[in-house]
Amino acid sequence: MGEAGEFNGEFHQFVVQRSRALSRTAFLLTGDHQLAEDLLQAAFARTYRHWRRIRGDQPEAYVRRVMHHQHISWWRRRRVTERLTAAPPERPGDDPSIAATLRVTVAAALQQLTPRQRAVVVLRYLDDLTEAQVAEVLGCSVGTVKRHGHDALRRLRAIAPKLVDAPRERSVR
Amino acid sequence: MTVRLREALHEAADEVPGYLVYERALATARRTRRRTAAATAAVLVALAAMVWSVPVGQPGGQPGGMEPGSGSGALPDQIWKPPIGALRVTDPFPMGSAALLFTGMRTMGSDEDGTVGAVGAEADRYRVLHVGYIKSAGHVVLLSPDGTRLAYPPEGDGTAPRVDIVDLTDGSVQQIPAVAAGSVSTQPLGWSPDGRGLVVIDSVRVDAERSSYRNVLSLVEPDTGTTVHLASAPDTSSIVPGYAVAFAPDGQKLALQVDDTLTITDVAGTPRQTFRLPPDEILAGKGAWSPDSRAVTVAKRRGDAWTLATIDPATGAPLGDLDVPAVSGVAAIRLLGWGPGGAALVVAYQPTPEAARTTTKIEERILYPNVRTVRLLSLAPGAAAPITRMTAPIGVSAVDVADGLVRWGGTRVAEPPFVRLGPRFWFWLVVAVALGAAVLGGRWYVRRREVSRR
Repeated sequence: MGEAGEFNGEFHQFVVQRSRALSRTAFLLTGDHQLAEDLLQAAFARTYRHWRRIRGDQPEAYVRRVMHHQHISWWRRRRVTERLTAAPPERPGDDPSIAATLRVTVAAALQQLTPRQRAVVVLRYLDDLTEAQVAEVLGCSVGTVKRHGHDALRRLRAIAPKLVDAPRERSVR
Repeated sequence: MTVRLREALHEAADEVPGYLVYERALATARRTRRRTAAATAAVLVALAAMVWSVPVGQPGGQPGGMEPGSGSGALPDQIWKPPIGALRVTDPFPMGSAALLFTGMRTMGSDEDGTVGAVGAEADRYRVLHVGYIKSAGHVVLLSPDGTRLAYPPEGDGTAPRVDIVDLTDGSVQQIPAVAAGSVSTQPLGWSPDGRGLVVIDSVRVDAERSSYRNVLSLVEPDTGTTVHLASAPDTSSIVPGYAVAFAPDGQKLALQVDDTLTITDVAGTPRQTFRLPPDEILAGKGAWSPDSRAVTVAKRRGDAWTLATIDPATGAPLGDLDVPAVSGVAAIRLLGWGPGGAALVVAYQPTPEAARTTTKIEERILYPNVRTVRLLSLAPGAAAPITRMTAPIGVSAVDVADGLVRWGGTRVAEPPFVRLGPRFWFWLVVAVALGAAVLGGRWYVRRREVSRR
């Protein structure tokens, strides 16, 4: 096998192994299967172009970084037509599957967040990254991650309280 | 407090299938690469087109100071050394007619730089010609009266000496073999006023042993091949290029100076009068004849000042000093011709400090290492001081101006080069970038083929 064959094989193996996890991230970022597929495809395409450079240095982190930045870029292009609303525009009702109901609920709730807030939530609570790791992926400071996380939770409590634990009451000394 | 959120996210994500996007991702990546390569090529082509359409470092446009009605260009009031990568006079983009030629040390970098700079008559278009060892403009490299051609002796081994005439309007080169039998070197001395004839000097061996030589002056017509013998002199004689030949305005007579002897001869080669010039007087230059052909001008040195005087070409009698300002503090002056109002246009050779103290003979005073820079001065009748018509940077030691511009007298404001990089520099830069892109593209193509095979 030549260098190019080895190159291609490595990338193919990486895609096969990590597609499932990255698909989940893509869906939660976009809330739509079609958009999620497009997002993952774009991220893999870019990763392939730079594979020679990144293959030995946590390529999955690179793909996540590309997905988040690409998603924010798409959102900026579409934001004229997208509007955040106080309540989820899509509510579960007819879906007989509880799991599907939950998926729609989560997706709809996440759609009410800004892309940055959504990215922080997905990275922190789905991918289980630390705040520092999230900051690295998003290319921002830890303080920014804290602020986006705080704002995201506050908003989720307002629009989908069942998805978030009830806040603890402050102790009175 | 986020346990529930974490669980909800995982439960929702578990329902998401793995998207099968591998093939589409590869196709997208390859398409992006093709588009990037195409865009890069387009940028390079656009850059190359821009370089050729806008000669960088050579501002074009109409000269700002040209007086109306000339239509034939004007003299720039300042020149600069040619930009690095300036076009050559033989390149596919001809400059048309030139206002002037200039040469000197370090014109393009090295001390003994044999680069001739040419400046366009209509605008500051700079071109260069590499002539081997340094050869001085106006002395060895001569601009034709209309500024469309230049004549110079290319380097050679002495077996086939010749003069090359470069046509500045199309870049073509006409080779004129030495006209004197047994010539071992030849060089031009002066153009005839109509540009058809060229006076050349050959160094001709006298005996088979090559123990001695003679100088032979001839008038040749390059287009017809006609040759007229004008004069011969021992090789020990002093014939100073730039000062030795002056045609009368009608082109029928010319003055030749060999040593201190001035000969008036006709174009058939028949000597008419011969005079001896006093020490420190020399035929003033190619413009020595007065516009009415009634006087021949000589340059007189008085200490460190030079003046112009005239003699009668029929008798050799002095006619007195001209009522023009003297030029002081210079190594020499050379008369190019006469402008409106009878003003003489001269080249003033400013000496280096060392040369000003040590050199005496005219051929040494104007030698390029002894000249700091040159200026073109207008010596108007009755004026108190010379008027500077053109300045040149340090290191420019000789200049020649087209006779037509001297007579017209127009001056334009020269524009300094926008950048010091000429079209050849940009061309080769684009070529280098294109080659680099081709190499990268080739590597990409090979890699892609190997990937496809898999």
